[in-house]
Amino acid sequence: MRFIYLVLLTLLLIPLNYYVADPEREMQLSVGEENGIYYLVFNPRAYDYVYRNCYVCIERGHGRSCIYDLGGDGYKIYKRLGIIETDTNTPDYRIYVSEKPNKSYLEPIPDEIAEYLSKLNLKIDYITSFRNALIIYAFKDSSIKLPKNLISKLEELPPRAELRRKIAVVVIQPVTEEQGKRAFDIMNKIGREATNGSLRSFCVVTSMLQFVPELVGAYVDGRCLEEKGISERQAIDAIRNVVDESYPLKVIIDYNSTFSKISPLPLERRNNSTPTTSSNHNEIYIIPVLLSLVAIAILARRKRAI
Amino acid sequence: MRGRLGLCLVVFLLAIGISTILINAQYSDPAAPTWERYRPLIGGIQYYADKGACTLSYAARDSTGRVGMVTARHCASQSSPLYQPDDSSISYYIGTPAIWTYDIDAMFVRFSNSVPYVLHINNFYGTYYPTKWNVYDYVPVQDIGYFFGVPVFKTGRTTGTTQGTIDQVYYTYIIGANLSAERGDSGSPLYAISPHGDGALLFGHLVGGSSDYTLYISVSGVIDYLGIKPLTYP
Repeated sequence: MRFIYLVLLTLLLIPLNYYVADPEREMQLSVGEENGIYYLVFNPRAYDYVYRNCYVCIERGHGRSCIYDLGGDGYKIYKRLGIIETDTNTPDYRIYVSEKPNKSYLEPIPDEIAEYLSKLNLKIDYITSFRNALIIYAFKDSSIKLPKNLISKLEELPPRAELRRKIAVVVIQPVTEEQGKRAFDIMNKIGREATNGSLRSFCVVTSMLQFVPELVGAYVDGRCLEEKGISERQAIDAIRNVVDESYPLKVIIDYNSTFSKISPLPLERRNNSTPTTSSNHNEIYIIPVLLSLVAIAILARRKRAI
Repeated sequence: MRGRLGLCLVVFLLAIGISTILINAQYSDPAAPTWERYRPLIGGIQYYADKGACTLSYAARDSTGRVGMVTARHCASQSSPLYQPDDSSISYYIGTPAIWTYDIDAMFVRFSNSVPYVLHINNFYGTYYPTKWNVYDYVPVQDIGYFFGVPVFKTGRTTGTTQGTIDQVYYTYIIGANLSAERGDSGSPLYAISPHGDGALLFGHLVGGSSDYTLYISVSGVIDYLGIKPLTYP
């Protein structure tokens, strides 16, 4: 009897582990669901420690990867919710922005939706619409609770509206609207200092901007820190001299130097000649040609018989 | 009556056969369409240089108004002859790098018969069908964040067309994406396909990475460092 209870308990626990991809690390986005709306909120527990508003991830050993794993969290969640499709044939997406765009690939948020969202006091960054899902990217300083009837409201929209979707996901970026607008400048500021300026002597290699969550990061070479006798906190203090503490940052301290390993992609060697393509053709087109030849032969025979 | 029906059947079957040959070339290898000879040159096809086989990225125009193709600089020495699809015939020669710099992993080879199209290979239950998408626009690095979660593609001479998503930008022109690639894919164009049927939207070209995470130089980097602008159509 106890065994059955244990089995049942295990089965009950499986759905709770749904979003836990790597047992060694939590995802940097926590997923909540309410009234059919998924909320993706930044989860600081995915990081090793927080110091001066910097979320620090340590890359050491082979068990985890600050760049690949943390970078891919949004992708993994979208994939599990069935938003991202993996076939290469039928893309279906629209990107809506709140300010009137002058780009061919962006569209203004339809009036009825803009009106509705402004009533909810949502500070929208942009909205991506997929075939079956709607992703609303909102800033930290906006209202994060959407009304229960959002899904039904979306479904009530006129058929021409592209935003009639079954799954609604609200991503709350861990930055304010004002900080979000400065993200590129902050990334370039750290990058410049890492390349030619004050951060170079503190082993800061490059900067990056991760789109979900919208965090600017600094990449620090851990081995260089050890060689120079600089502590991690001293490196972070140096970064904070460049970017004020009110701006949240992500700091990756890499003791494996994986960044250098991912560039450039090795070349195909010269002695590997081009494989022949003719043998790779699927010869399916021959079937109708052969059939037509058979048909011609039958017709010719009949004519002769007549 | 029967004879007429038979004739119709013959014509119908011949039409299907010929159109299948002309329109729907099929392959069993995902990268095989990239190994063909293409004139005019387009993005996503194989070429050979002194350092080995790589992939052409996209058609562009330099500051003098001349047209050619962009690709990864690390694929060739400054004076290397380039051949498409390979160096088995002198007639495959397309030129030498006209613009080549250590500042950024990009170079430009002038070739007047280049057009703004990229090769895209559809996978239908293990059979691969090549199509060509026109490049209708390109995305500057500042706008790349809007495309998080949107399916993006790269087409290269080793792994063919693979799909993934963009997730970050590195200072200042490097795009990081969850997209698979292998050696020889360097230079592959990174693009999304317009949901409106406009064509391909260009982001940049592949320069490095591991087998499941790859790095690309944004078109903004090529514009700023090399003074080259991607061609678009229409």
